[in-house]
Amino acid sequence: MLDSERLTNLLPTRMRSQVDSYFEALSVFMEIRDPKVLRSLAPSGVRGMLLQRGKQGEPTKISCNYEAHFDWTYPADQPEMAELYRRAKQGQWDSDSLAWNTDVDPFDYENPLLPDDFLDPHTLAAELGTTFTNKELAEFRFSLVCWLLSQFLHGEQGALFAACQVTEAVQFFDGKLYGATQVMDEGRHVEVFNRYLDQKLGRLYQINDNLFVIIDSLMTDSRWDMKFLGMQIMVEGLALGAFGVIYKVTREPLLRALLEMVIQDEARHVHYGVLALREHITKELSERERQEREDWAFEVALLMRNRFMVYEVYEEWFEGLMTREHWRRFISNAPGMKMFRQVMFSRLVPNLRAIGLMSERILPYYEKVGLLQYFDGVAADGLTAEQMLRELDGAVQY
Amino acid sequence: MAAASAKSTAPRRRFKLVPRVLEPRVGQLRRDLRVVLANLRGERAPAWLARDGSRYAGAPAGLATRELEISEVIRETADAVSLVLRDPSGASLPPIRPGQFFTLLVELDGETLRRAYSVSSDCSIRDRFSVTIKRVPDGRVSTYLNDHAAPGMRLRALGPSGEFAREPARKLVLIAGGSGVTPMMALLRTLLTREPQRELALIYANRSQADVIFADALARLAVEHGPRLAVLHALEQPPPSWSGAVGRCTGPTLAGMLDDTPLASDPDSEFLLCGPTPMMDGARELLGARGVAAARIHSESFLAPQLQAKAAAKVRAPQAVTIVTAQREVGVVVQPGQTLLEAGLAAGLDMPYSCAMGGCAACKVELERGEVIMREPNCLGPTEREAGQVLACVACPSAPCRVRVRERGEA
Repeated sequence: MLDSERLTNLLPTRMRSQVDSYFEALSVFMEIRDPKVLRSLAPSGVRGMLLQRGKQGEPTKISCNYEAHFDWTYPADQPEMAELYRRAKQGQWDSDSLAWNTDVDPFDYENPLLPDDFLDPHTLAAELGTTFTNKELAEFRFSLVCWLLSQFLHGEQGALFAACQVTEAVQFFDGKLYGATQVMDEGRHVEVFNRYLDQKLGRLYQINDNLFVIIDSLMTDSRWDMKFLGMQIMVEGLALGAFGVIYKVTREPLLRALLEMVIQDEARHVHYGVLALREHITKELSERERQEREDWAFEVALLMRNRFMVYEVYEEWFEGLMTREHWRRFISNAPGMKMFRQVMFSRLVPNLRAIGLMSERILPYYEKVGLLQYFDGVAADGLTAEQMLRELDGAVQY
Repeated sequence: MAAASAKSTAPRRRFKLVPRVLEPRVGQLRRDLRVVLANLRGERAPAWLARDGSRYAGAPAGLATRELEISEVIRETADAVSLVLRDPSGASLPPIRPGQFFTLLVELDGETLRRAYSVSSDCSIRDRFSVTIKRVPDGRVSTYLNDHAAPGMRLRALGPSGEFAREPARKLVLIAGGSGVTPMMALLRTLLTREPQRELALIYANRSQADVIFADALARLAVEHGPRLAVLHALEQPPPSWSGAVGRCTGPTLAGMLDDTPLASDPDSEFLLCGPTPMMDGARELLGARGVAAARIHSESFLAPQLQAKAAAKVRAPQAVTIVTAQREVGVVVQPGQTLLEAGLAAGLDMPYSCAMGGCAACKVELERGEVIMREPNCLGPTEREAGQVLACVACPSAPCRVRVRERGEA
């Protein structure tokens, strides 16, 4: 990381915070080792972090360039995907059947949306030499929940469009049929998160810059397998981590019920990603191409680990009271965020291994950032949704 | 001013600097630059937007609506129709008093719109009734029903509601303007046939002869019931052969018509008013000047209450509300876009209500603590407001509240 603090010390607080955020973004990109990966991520980085295309207050247009793959012979080419398609059809559910008449009180102490110590605000208060009143704590928590669910919603919008693209571009016919169910799933997810925010919380946060970068990058990449890798493995892994944590800690029954249904869908999506990519990466790609994807996945994993820093909430609450650097430290060490990383990477790393993107050459890098501990987990093709929910209810430590 | 700006933009339109195909790109570039500059100045767009829940509000939760079927559509004038409504299964309807109204819920473009319409038929008929709907300029529901209502169509409804003409005196002077004649028509049709002692006079004002709703029916009633019913028309734009009163139904015109009505100077008669607000205000003032006590004057107005834009900004967050009934105290959360009544009913509370659109006061509750913002206008009077009463069906809390529900029968 650049020593931005020394450089920006003289600027007014708000401007300094902005310049600091540019430096931080820059440093993320300077750390990318593979020039091809840099080339594929950098334009999205500029659009997301510098130009903030997702926050301009107008619909964002993203140009896409990829080939739709038609097959007029309708081959039965992937029995495992056909099976997944069958299960997906049976697993459809009606979002209207959730208990939407539930009263959601975001300030209820008995059934809190998130536990008080999700972010450990008392430590933060002590560091800042202040205390938070119960009202402030409740409002802070409300901001955080709205922020998280808003990011879920934005992520699901990306997933909806990416699922459409992947359905067009994938070369397996059974995969296309399965893909159609995923499009439906993602549409439903957009609906339920939007409805929850709209009807129960009354607040929608803007898209986080990093999430925008990831979505932009995989929408604009012309290679179907990169879209696939980005969406089905990385973003779905991120989603499973985030949904899983909230599912585990929330005491609000409607949100819990909603997430349980969404997680079951997401488990199928990751499974599909593993099936399609394992075939493609191990059989179709050259070693150089495989390496590029391996590096790309590592960089995006880092982006997901390091960069979801809830800055929008920082800007709302603490800008001027503490530096971004301080806030970063606080968020990185918050119990809820630690748990989020744990759930996310315990799903993601085994999946990367299963699709062949965890060769000997990359392992030391994962080792260095502390992600190798998840190497031996079960990949999505060997895991049912019930198992995942059971694990969340039990084993994961909070 | 307008001419000057038109002049200055005209040449620019002819010699455009940016070809049309590039316009989106230039627009994007401009937005990008604006964002970067604003960021450097430390200005940011608000991190979040308030959502009011209206998108998924759909059917108001918990309101016990009744489904009705249109059995007949009667074209009254070019701009007014009567819909004859009945229970789809043919079952008899709850008792309706003349003067009461129904709230019709009409779904248009994914939104459920509520409008109040007075019953215009003889209320002693128990298996059907009619409402008469005059087209309001830019009125979505009245236009839709005037153009599209057809036999067999079903509507959801609340009601009957309203206290207008609850216990009418034996002698009544009815003063109506335009579509305000609808409750009067129910009174005439019901009372004249059932109660031979009744004496009624109707003073009925319209813009032109083509606007007169029920012209033939009124003429027939006047012939049938002779001296017990007097009908006096006033027109703003009369045809050449017009023999009735001329002008807007206020001041001298109304005074002249009252002079022509013996009932109006009878100390036992009561006055019922329904029509446009200026007309009713004028009539009330004139009657007062003629020595008619306020207690003998009753009026009905039709309102489509809405949150004023400024007030709406205050009800963008969910609020905790304690609702106290005779039996229990229940905490509910009122979501943005929801009313006290909807939240209470959704929580299973037995809250009284009828029209659910601020027109009948059946849902009046006492605000013990906190603050609510009511959709306006509604029928709550200034003394009730001062006493801390609010209408649950149009009240949106803007702070945590505690409200007490009246017991049944409590005034």
